Amino acid sequence: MASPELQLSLSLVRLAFIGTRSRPRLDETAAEVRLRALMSTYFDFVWRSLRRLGLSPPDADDGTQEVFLVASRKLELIAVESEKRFLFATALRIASTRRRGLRRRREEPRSWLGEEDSELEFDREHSEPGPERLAELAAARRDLSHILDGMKLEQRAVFVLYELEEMTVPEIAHLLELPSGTVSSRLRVAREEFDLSLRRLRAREQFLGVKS
Amino acid sequence: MSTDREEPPRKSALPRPSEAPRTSESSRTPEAPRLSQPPRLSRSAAPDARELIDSARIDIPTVRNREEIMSRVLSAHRKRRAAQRVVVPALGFVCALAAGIALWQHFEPPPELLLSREHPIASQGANRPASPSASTPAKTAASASANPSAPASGLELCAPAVSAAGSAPLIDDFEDGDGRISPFERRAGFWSATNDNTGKQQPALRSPFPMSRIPGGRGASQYALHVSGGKFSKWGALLSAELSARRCYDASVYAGLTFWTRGRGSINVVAKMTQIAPEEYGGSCTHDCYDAHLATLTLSNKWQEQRVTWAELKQKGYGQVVPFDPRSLLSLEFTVGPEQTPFDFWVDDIRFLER
Repeated sequence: MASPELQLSLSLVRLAFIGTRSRPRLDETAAEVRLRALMSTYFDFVWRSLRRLGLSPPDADDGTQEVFLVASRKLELIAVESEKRFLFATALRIASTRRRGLRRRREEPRSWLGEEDSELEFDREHSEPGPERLAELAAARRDLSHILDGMKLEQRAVFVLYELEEMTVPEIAHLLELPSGTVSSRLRVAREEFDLSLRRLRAREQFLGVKS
Repeated sequence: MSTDREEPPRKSALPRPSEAPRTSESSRTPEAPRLSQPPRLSRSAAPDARELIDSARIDIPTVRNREEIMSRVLSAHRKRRAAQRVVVPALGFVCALAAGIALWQHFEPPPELLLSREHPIASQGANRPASPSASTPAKTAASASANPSAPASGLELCAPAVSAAGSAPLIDDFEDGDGRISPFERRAGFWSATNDNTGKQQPALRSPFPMSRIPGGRGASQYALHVSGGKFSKWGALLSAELSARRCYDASVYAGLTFWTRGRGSINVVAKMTQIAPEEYGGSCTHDCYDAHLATLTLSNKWQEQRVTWAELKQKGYGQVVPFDPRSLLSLEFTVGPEQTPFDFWVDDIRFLER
């Protein structure tokens, strides 16, 4: 039986060895290059996803930073083919947490909608619209946000990925690690909700227009 | 895996074709999505629904925010990596060091690696008796042998002792100038000086005590111990060096001490045993301490070799009587009592005297 000092020293040597082994395997340059590439590729996707999952532009900024900070900490563990899945799963969790925080503070998720007009930037792939078109799109974006806010988060995620990100059902299933049937089911419910909310919205507008 | 699964039956998961809004881009067009997927609203829905979906294109971050966030993430990443570079090896080093210390304590350390646990100056002087004449009357050897645990000689040896093998008698020739005794035969100790604070002494008291260059040298020797001082009135002054970090040195393989001296007046050479040093200074004496075994030597203005055998070392008789035994040495000292001050002497090439 080894003495306590000997056992202690063996444990410490083992600890030192584990500490050395746990050092990142990617060298500094490779890790930074990969993180930079990850952000360049998926920054817009993460930010858009957070926005469409119900965060205000400032919250989406903070959330995006949080997502990539998490990614930078776990860079060694993220497989290259799972990067998008990891980022969206993290974004979904962060959006959920932040939305819960908003509800706890009794703030309306749409309270930031007024800020949106000043934050508008247009997709650089499309031609810049004129002021009238800009106003129309801003109003439509507010309506879309209003409708999406009425959905449950899991339905909203599937709807956003399918309709706005234009991903396929198998891609969404892979991204969310769900069966395709579950994705299809959530998508169907979300689309019904979207349709119903849109009809309600138009009816209200019509009513208000007649009234005025 | 979910990706390998078949798509669910159309009736449970997807709207019927008839349920889809009737637009120009029907699901039957060549560009329509696969049959297992419903057509996208951006292509198939009514114009107002398409307008809503299209409005989501405005959801892109500002260039400024994008650059700022990326820069912050990269900066945090670099800081974390830099911290990892420092912290992980530091933790490894601390663990390895702790392991080394634990192993060191497990296996017996070589005494040469041990440093004195107490400052040499602090271990001397302050608690010495004010004057040999002021101490209590001498006890007899018979009282010492009254200790039931003592051996037949009446002396309980210190333990565990570091033993000299008899192959390297040099204690210190001072040529290295490091203030430590030579580490032969597992000897370890620092030279230090102290006094009773009633006079002045040169060099100033500090540890390790500095070596002095011999003017003109002494043969091949260039350095030696040199100390001088004025009048002292209590117990005087001394130079000392412990022989072992364990404070227990067995020099019984040797016959005594030999060294070279030069100076005026006289000095005492002391082989201090653990039995006459108090416990707080590494000895085992509990009362009537400090009456060390010594021999008084007369000095000359010229270098002269001194030889002192163990048998020549005697106590003065003001403390506990302890028979001299070279198996139980604590330190080696050169002292001057009040009657020997003022003083000025050199000591060089201290060795054990071979039998």
